[in-house]
Amino acid sequence: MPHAPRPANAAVGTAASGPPGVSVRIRMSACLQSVGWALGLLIALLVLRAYLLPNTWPVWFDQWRNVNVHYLGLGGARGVGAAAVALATVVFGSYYPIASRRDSSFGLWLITGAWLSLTTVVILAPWSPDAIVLRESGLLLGYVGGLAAARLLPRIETYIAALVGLGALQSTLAIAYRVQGLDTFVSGTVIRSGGSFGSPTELSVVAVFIVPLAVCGVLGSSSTVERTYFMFASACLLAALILTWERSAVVACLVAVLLLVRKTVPARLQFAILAAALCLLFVVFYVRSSGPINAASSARSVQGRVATMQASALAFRHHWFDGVGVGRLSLPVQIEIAGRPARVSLIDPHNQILFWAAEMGIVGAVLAVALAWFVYRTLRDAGSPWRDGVAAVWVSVLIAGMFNTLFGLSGFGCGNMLIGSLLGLTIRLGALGHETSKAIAAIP
Amino acid sequence: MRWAMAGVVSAIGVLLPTPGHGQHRSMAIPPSPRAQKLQLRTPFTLTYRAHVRGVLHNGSRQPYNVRMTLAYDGKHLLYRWKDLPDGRTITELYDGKETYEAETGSRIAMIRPGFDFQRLWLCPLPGVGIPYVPMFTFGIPAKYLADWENALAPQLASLRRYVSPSLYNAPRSEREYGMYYYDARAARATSLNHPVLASVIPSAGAPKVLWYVWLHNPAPAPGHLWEYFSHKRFAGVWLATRIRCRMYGIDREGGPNTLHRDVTYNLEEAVERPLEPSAYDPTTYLSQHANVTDMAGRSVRTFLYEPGQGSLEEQRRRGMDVSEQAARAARSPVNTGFVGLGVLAVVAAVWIIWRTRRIR
Repeated sequence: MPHAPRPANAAVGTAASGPPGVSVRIRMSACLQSVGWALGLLIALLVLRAYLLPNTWPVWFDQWRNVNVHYLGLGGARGVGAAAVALATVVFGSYYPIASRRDSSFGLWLITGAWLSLTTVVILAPWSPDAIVLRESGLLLGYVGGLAAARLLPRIETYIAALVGLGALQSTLAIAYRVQGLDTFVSGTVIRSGGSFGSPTELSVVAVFIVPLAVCGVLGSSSTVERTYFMFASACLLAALILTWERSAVVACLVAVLLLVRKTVPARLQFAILAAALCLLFVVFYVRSSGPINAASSARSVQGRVATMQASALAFRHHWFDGVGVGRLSLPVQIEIAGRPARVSLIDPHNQILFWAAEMGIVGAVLAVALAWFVYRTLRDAGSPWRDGVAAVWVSVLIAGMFNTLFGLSGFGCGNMLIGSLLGLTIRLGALGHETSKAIAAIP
Repeated sequence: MRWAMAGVVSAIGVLLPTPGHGQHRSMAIPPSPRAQKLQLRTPFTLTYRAHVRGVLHNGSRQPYNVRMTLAYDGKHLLYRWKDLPDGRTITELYDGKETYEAETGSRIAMIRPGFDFQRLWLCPLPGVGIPYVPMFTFGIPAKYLADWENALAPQLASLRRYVSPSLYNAPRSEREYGMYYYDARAARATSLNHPVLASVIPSAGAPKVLWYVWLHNPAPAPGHLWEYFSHKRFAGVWLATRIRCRMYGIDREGGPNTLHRDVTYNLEEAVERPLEPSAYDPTTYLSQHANVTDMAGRSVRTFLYEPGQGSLEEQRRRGMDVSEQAARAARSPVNTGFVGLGVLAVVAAVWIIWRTRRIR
């Protein structure tokens, strides 16, 4: 596994050195630190379990994810919203000491804050409808959960290993469900795996975010155990991804993998991987459109996406300055049809950029561009061996996000947690900078 | 760290070989020759009288009778049910591309993409089918697969509660397993995929269906159970003259599977000819000023149908775009433009101050 450097302020020295009082203090400090890290690991695992392995044992654990106001007992939508905002403030604030080490990380942290604050304003506005407050609270909890999970562990690679591990477990479940014939989602005549999510799109989101990290782990592993672990996880994730038959996600993951192998694998092997990727793409596209029923289903899928994108472009055209509102898409709108009131919904555009543009207007577009710029700067300045993996995840998210709304739509979606994690990882990587390489270069 | 990884790998290793109950095919199973022999393919008109009990469309439990007609002219499939307690007659018409639905006594009409009969529960005979109507072309494997029985074991166990043992153990009957699939995305609904189980008696010419069930997946109980009695020969297939449909469902999480609706159909008339041509023209069922919602296009449109003011297609094209109206009408609770620009301005100011200080 590629190893990131330990933080510069990590505890050094031994308990045996120095006066006895200092020794006790160091021991207590180390003990407290270990307890803190263990607690952090536990919370991170709970967050990952909640979003990556829903509807598995213990099932009751999933209830909080539904932001059920009665279950949470926080005094209705406003209470849930206030709790989510408070949590977001603490988690976001906890990144300041890290982000402030470098300009690019700080910029990314600020842009993340701008995005979260727009959600927060909608939650806190007293005139916001309860439905929007609840939905945005669910989304905020997802983002914050991911940010917190990525912050709580002292070593980045530990968190990535955990993320990959739980993603692989979800993929294994998806394969097991498939073997048992428990999948119920059908496109045309193609049965598509949805894992414990019950939704192939949701399962593919897991792969979009995690496959590049798993492959990066394979390419950068220093030991056999680690390489085996990441290879196994990559195989499970890729197999589950193919079983979803989600074309855009397969393209996104394959492009990300090809980008990763470009630097580390010999040219001849690269060619073989490219050929294998093209064959795989052909199979996936062929299966989804072979035969009249599948061809019709596939055509409807494409037409449907074009229609939803057009509808969102229309919404942006009418509300280019203020958008239709954060949390407004897919919620009912009151209109008049033939003189009678009717409630219709603005549909999800199946495109992440259009989603932001439709919901937030010009601010959403600016935010997207600024986010892309700061992610680029942050990763450019990063020196960690995981940099390429995280960059490949962003590429994968960008490609898959052109054809699906990966996050920001459903409060239960794992994409919200994963984008939070990705932002957290990027900020942390950027904050580390080139410390490792400089330190290694300084060794005579 | 390595121990944790080893733990995850072990968990994966345990999960992967989880004993499966059999393997479903990843691709669709085409209708077997046996299933095709259960289907009518030439023009026909069937009229049934149905007796309906259970929770009705208006929430009441008062039983009522309804007369329903299923007719096919070689291109269009017509499905009409009339004499409803409130006097309505509802017509659904599928022309191979779109489904038209209209009600007499109200101005509401719909055009939906693909095959999308909303009154599916009133459809009397799954064996009567048009090749390109997915509802009727359920796939049945040509060969009996033991794995399927294993896969459906829990459902089969509960099925004995619903199907009379005499039918279930009918001599010479053959159980058939298949997959009922319905891609409902064209109708902007959830796609369905249910295991199907049919009991068939081989007979000269075409086999007879004894019963047919959709099983909830993965809930261990049937969803719809159709039973067929008193078959008679019609257009090369054995047509049931009496049919019983029972619909089951679970009202609440963890609750029992209960009977929601029980419908008995008696065949009144079966003729090998279609209805008059005008019966397959959707405008026949549209009243003046009918409020038509057209969901078959790229966006949802609506229009008031006025006879004599152009063809239905022309009036559809002139319809109002509902998506555009919704896009116009949507209002943000917070003005994201001003608030967002304010937030971005603050972020930009902080960034500039930060950079300036760092450079110094």
